[in-house]
Amino acid sequence: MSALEPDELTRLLTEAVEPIRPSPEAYRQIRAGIARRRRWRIPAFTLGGMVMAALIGLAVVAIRPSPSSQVVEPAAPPVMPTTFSEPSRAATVPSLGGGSGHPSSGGGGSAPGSTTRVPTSPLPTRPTASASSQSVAPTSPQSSAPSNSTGPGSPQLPTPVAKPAAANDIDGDGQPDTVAPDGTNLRVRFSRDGQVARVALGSIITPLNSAVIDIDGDGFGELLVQTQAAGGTKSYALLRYASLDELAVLTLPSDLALGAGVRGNSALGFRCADKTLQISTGTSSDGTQFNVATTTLGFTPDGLAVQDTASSTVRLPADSSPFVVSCGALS
Amino acid sequence: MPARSDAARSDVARDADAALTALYSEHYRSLVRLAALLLDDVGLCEEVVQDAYIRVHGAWGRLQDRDKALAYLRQTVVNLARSTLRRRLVALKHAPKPMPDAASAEEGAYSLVERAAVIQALRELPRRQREAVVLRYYADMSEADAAAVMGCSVGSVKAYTSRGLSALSGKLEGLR
Repeated sequence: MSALEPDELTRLLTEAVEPIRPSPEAYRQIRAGIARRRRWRIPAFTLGGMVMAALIGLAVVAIRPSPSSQVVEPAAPPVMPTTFSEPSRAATVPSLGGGSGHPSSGGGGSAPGSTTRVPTSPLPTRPTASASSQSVAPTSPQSSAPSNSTGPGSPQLPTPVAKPAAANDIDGDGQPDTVAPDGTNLRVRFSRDGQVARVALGSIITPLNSAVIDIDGDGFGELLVQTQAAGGTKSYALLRYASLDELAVLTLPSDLALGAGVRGNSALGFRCADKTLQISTGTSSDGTQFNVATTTLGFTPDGLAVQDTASSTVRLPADSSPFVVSCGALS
Repeated sequence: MPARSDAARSDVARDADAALTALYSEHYRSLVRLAALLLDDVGLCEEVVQDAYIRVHGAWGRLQDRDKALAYLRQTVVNLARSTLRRRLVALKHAPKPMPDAASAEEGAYSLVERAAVIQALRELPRRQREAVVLRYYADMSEADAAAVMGCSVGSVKAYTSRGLSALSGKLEGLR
């Protein structure tokens, strides 16, 4: 077999395709194809652009995190005890007149003025709680050294099951918690884990006059307890769920107290409204016409902060008295 | 600047039209014959070449070196011929049963080519060898140009050409 020479192969190939005659319509067909391509080009590009934009939009919608503030978390995440603790001051439970010498006539050997003794042991607290609130943890009654465990490393609060909290639900588990007096202490049994917290309030009115109201709407009910009743006025303490099985007595800004009633030319009252606490302080020269200063307190992680102040005048008993308690079923 | 860009676009279109006409008159026939050697169905060769002209016209504004329009056209013809063969292969694989061959008008016109022994021998070559032989010995391209069109190295073109030439020698023994 002799090898095929390149020249010979070229000749054979050329002769093989020699009979092929292009169609006389070829040029017209090419022009028609170009016109067709040009005609469809803009609509095709437009459609393609729109499809691409739609796909990008869909991808963005699919990938973008939901704007909903609801965070999916376990119903009851594990809460670890903190290892951080620092000494704290004893808190003062506000009383009518700011504890400035009004006699206390509560039952059961209450001390003049009222203080909260905070048990020892470092415990988890509300992460940003400050010295403006005193933490009270469920410990043995013998524990008496003051402590306030706040600061870095404090664990998160349990996740509440509903906002605002259910009726009488302090620990945010959706179940009512039990509040009972125990001498000058307040005993709270948490339904979340059956733990009992004891809070020393100095004095407590018996039978117990208390209410659980989620004033700030955070899913944990605030506990309002009447501590004293004297001369037509009543004093109250406000407690907040600070961390797992722990309550903190909220202190008020200076010159303010949680109380209700009129005594002579001074009067007090408060109401819960729109995630705030409004305290009305009245002064009068004749005992009937009162100049009322209303301070609106907002709930912050650190406690209570003044948001607004307003003043007005009321004449008693003609006008509706602001010197009452208007927080849930509390009277 | 829309007026300016419209004017530029219209210049490109006029340029493309003129170039297309020149390429058609000079090279259309040779490109159809080139496609006829690459495809196993000569009826498709004109369709492939016309499609190549339309594509080159559409891409005229993007051509960096317009002197190489013919090379670009050839490469497009080779690529389209490959695609056509591939489609036909897939269609044949998935066809429920072989379709009976129906003679078309084009096939009548190319009946002489169909019968040519050299065409038959060429069709029996593997695709790469057939492309190398046709580009080198019919299109008269250099090894480097053939390698560029085929998308492979010069060494590969040499190997494909050598093997194709050897295979054709055996098949066309009686013809010489």
